[in-house]
Amino acid sequence: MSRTRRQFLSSLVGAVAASTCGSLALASCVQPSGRRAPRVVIAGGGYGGATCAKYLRFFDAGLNVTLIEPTRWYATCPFSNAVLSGLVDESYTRLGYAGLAKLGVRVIHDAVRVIHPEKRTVMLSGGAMLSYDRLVVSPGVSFRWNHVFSGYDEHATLSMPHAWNGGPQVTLLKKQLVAMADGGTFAIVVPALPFRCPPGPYERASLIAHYFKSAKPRSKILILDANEHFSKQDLFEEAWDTLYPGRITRIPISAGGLVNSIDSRRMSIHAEAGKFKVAAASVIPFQQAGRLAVSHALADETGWCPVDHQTFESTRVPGVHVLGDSCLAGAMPKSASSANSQAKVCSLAIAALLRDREPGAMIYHNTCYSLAAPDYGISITDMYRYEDKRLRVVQRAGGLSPLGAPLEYRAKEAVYARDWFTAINADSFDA
Amino acid sequence: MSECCYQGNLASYVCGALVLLSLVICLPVRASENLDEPYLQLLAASCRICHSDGVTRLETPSLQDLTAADIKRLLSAFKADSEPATIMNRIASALSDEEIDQLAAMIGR
Repeated sequence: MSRTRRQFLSSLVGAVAASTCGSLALASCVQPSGRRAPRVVIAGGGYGGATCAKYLRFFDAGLNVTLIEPTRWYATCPFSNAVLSGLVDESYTRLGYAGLAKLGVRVIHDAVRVIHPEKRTVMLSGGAMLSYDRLVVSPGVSFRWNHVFSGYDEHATLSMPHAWNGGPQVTLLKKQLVAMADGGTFAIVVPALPFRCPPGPYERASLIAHYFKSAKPRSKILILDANEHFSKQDLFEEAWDTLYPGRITRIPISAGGLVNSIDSRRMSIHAEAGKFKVAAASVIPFQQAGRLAVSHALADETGWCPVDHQTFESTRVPGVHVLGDSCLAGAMPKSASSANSQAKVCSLAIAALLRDREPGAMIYHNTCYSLAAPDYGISITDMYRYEDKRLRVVQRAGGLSPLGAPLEYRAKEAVYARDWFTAINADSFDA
Repeated sequence: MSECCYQGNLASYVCGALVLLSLVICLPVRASENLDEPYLQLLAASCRICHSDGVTRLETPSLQDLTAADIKRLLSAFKADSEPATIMNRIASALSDEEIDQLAAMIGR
């Protein structure tokens, strides 16, 4: 039998203390005499950062890997809509870092405050200074307050939570949904693409419609959308017709769906189509790369970070790699699965570069499930290859779940959606 | 080699055929292209988004339980759309036969 993860992990555990070569490490782990182990620092412990930390150790057990993440528990965005609708408890979406520490990743709960690319050092908020040979920045997204949606700032998130990065915002929105009177309207305000999790707003509408069906039978859902079309549109609309006829109304941009201003105190939303008074709302702000990336000029005028698709090294700041939602990765959507896949490619490339080897061929993968109901799942998947210096989708493969499939098929995909969540958490966090 | 080499000349035809035959016999059957080990590890890592080891799932199979022959047969059948699937047929369609062979050999039991 060739190299399996099982063997690899057991070799890693042995390699942790001594950084000696596990039999399965791809690169030679023996340090040339007198040479220290190459150091990789990773800023941000979401799906991108966590996966990168783990797979750097996977591809080269001789690397010194440090993960910097302020929180001790990562709140996932996947399945946060299931928390909102009461399908799963909030603890289901909470992941820790003990698994990565066991694999030999040094986990520091602090934040990177300043990057000095010319000195190859980072300063943490707590004052510590760390040197790196390669830095990986995986900070997710940041929100653009008052951008297009005038009046929507951090304070307004208390009345109309975005609930777009898991954790307390999700808990708050859930409380508001439970507290709202039957018959009231719940609004979802959608920003223009690109944003984290393109099908997320529509999964939110679906699962809250499911909750309303039994808990608030007279309540409706209104989607005010700054886009014309959306991810998995035909599949979602088929599901809404089947499961929630008449409950969900979507106003696309061409029909006045663009929101201009928000009055969170009066629970009022002004869109081009008119003024809407709502009982509860989730306003998803316009987005850009994470704050650390924006403040260190890793992002360009689009607000996102251009990278070399073979290595995910920034095209603007040498020695710094940008992963996940913050980076511009061609046709790959901003999803947990994309971040996981990009992190694997990036860690393989870094492992090569740190041993003076050229990175080789690369393959990338995204699989994204959405639930329209607890037993109704739909999916999209795509594979990508590095060709002609770009990441390109593989033609005649991938794609969406079929339209018009029987309910048994949807039920099967709902089970696979839960399995996907279990598996990606284990793969990324060893959780 | 153009057709006209053989016209009106049985000897050279036979000779040409023998040369061709000897080439077929002497050349090894073209082995499938060997993919780089790091690339194969990356490809195998892609599977773990849904098939990671060591956790209990409801239905998604663990790859640890499958032999290399099982994995090759299943991936090939998914690619040909001859095995029922929800998502694996869409994924396997992206893989070459070489990738399927060598990936199966790497991750199979």
